[in-house]
Amino acid sequence: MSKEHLGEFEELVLLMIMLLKEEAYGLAIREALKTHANRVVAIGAVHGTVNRLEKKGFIESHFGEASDLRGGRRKRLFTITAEGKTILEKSRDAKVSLWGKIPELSIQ
Amino acid sequence: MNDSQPGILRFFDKVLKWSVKGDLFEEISGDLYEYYYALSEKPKWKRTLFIWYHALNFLRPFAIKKLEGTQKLNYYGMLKHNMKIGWRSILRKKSSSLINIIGLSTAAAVCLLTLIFYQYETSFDHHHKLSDQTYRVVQTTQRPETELYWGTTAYPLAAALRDDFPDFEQVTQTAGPMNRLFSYTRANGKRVLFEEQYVLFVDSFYPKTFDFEWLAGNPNSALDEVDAVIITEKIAEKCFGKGFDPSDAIGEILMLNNKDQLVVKGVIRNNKPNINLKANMMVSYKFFKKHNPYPSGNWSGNYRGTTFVVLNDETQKGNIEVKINDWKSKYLNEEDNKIISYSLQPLHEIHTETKYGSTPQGYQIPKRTLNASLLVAAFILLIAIINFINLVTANASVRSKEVGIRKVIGGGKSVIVSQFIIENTLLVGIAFTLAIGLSYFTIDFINDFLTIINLNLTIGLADILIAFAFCLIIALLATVYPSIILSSFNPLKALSNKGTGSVKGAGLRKGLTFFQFMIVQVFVIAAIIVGVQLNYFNSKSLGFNSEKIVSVSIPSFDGTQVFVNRLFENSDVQQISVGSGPPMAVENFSLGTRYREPHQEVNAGMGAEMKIIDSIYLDLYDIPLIAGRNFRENKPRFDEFIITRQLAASMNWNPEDAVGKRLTINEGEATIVGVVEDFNNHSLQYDMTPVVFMNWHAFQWKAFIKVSSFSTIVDIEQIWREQFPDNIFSYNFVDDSIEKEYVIENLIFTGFKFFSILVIIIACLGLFGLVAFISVQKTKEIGIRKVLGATVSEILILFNKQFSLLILLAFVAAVPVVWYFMSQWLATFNHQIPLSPWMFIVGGVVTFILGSTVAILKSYKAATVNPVEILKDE
Repeated sequence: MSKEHLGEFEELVLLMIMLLKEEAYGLAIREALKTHANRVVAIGAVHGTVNRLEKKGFIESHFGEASDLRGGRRKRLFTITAEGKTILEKSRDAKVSLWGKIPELSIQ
Repeated sequence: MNDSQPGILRFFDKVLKWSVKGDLFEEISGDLYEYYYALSEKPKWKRTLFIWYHALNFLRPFAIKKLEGTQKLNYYGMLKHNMKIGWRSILRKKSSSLINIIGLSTAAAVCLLTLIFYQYETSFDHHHKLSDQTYRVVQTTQRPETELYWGTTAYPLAAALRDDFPDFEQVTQTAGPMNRLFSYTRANGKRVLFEEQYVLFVDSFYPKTFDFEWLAGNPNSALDEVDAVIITEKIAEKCFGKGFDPSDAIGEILMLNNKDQLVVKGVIRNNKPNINLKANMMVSYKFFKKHNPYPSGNWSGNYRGTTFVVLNDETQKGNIEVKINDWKSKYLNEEDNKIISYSLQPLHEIHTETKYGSTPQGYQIPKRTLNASLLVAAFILLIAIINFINLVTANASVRSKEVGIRKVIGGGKSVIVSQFIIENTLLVGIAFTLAIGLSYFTIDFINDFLTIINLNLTIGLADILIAFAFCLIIALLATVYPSIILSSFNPLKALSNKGTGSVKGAGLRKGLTFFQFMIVQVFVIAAIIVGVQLNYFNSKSLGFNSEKIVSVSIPSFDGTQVFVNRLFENSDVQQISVGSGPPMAVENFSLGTRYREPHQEVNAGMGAEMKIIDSIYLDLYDIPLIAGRNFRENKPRFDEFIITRQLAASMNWNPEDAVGKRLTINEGEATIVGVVEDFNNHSLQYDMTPVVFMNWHAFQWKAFIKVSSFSTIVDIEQIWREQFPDNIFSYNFVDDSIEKEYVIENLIFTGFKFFSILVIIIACLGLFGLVAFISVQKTKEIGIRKVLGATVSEILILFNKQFSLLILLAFVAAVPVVWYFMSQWLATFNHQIPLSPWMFIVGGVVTFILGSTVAILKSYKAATVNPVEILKDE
């Protein structure tokens, strides 16, 4: 078991970053969470999570281009690291295998 | 930054730039901008709201700047360092820190409590919506001999004002509060009987003028009916039991004095403690009018009626007063119109302005007393602050090496000042936190102690904030000077061994100690004077003897004779008399009249007190007859008078001549049969006035029973209950009720006693600290002196000479101050003690002995040390 644990919301954010590919930054992730996962959160919550994920080494970031729409501020774009992918897969596999062990009848 | 950006974004840019980590700012701000524009279709308020929500949501632990580490907040590191050093130094010099903390926290607690007390006493009736515009109508009566001021007015005044003046928003009349007996029969047949002291008769305009919290009933119409009564929760609980439903109480019937039915029309919350006119029950004024047709229509009478008016425009007050005084002739008879004038007194002044007196059954605290209490508290705090300054500066030299090293390393003056300020603020902070705790725990004791004036103090958040503000100001004031002294050491001198000998600020310390002991002696001497005056009040012969006399009320005249006869069956009962009241007026109650010779005109009449007595009264109270004879029998209608020497003198009669003369009073004409010696018919703050005694069945409200043993009261109660079954028994000893007249003076005395003890303790603590410090300073000097042959007593004298001289000088300075203030205070009484030198000397000697004992005790230890111990390290 790796020391870094992946929380439920962190997992969602990671998935969104994968989904958004090159366009994953704070506000975009929040919008994606809203449309794809039906989760409405404060922008600050997303920022908090991505900072944590970066510290854990699951994502990397670099600055993109500035725009007037952003008051001349650059975007900070996130991409998933190999480690991030691994932990996502691990998490998915763990759940699939758990689901497999549950007999069909008990989830009616 | 782009100026065309919306203000809210620019605002949050600033906030975020200041509060979040530098490397996170760009993306956060960018996201906020983008988000804002994405919302462009939403209404503006929604956008603003959303931006607020999200922006504030960035203030999470991950984003907020750390206090430490970034360049700008470098001070934080220093602050932490100073706190640590400060804490250590507080712990190191335990005794002086303790003295400071004890002194400051006690003084601050006293200050805080006094402030709360002051606030409470000046908040009376401030909570009503219209209170700023509300005035009490007060009356001034011009008598040939004096002017009389009344807070009460004739009963018909309010209705007439209401009819004739459009200038008033409200005019309301009250009568009382009065004492009444009530009963209520519960559904299960159980009868509740109670006596209520605060029954106020009010008209229907009263609830519109004053605000109450209504639990049930309609304030606009509740008092419309003749038999309406409004009760407080407290009364409702008494009648209907705990957990009653206020709305069920409406329509219930209460019996007044066992004969009149009153219908409950409203239930209100219990009175706030800080109102002037207390009322636990409000009965319709119409009821009062119906049952008291004569007084309620009498323009010449002044009973217990209070009139309040609400002005539309406060600036018109002067004009309206003039108008009222022009208008009054319409109702007042010619004689009254000449001597009576009305004015308006602001509602807010009733409690603290003594000229017109309190509301019936209320009490007053003069503004002067309140201000004096603030001053006293400030002085106590000052003494504690002086201790603080003295000890801190005295300790300064001990720390000269620390300062020297800091300076050599490169500490600037301001850094060192701020170090000491922080250290001392820490100390003051601890003291004030303790003070708040202390006040919190003592406030209930104070409330209990002062129940006589129904005090109900609480500590609010505001008070705590005030205390903290105080704390900061004092910390600054008290620490700036010592800090500057400390920081001004020359590092070279401080670090060389010789530099530590000189103590900076010694002159200032002497000055402050002098000042401190001056205040102490002012307090002590003042306490002695107040005590002597009070003792004089309590022990002065009043001209009558009130020992072992029990006073009980007589509810109905019919039962009196049987009651008296039955009492005599008890062997402990020595004498019984009935009358209107004890010789000295208590609880502000007396009957007034005016007297003249029958042939004189009405307006020649002079004021006198009227006392209704029987043939035993003078004997019972030991009031000596100096001419003529006593009353011979009890009569239903008076036809004889007994007067006092003073009354006779006012008519230019010798006591012997007066007997047989005819005298006319408001109540009728009769012959004088006797003259008695003068006695104090008012408490000793006031002069005695002429008294006329008469023998009459009216007004015989009280029975005075002289007993040989106090336990007889049980038997008296037994007989009384059988005789007057539908009433409530209450009694008091005449002695006690006389003593109660000095409640305020007693309070002042207790206050002074307490404060002077406190002041002595705090000042002696400071002295103790100073001597302790000096003895450490002078250890070597003492050692050398002893080696050279000085005795212990010589060294003690060396030590204490200075302080003794200071205390002596302080005494000299204190005497004129106390003399001035106390002779002013004494001048407010008609019977006063003369100021005599012994009071001052005792005060001075007490302070001197206490001060020197402390100094000697502390220095004795230093003086008896073996010089070898001290000198060996050189």
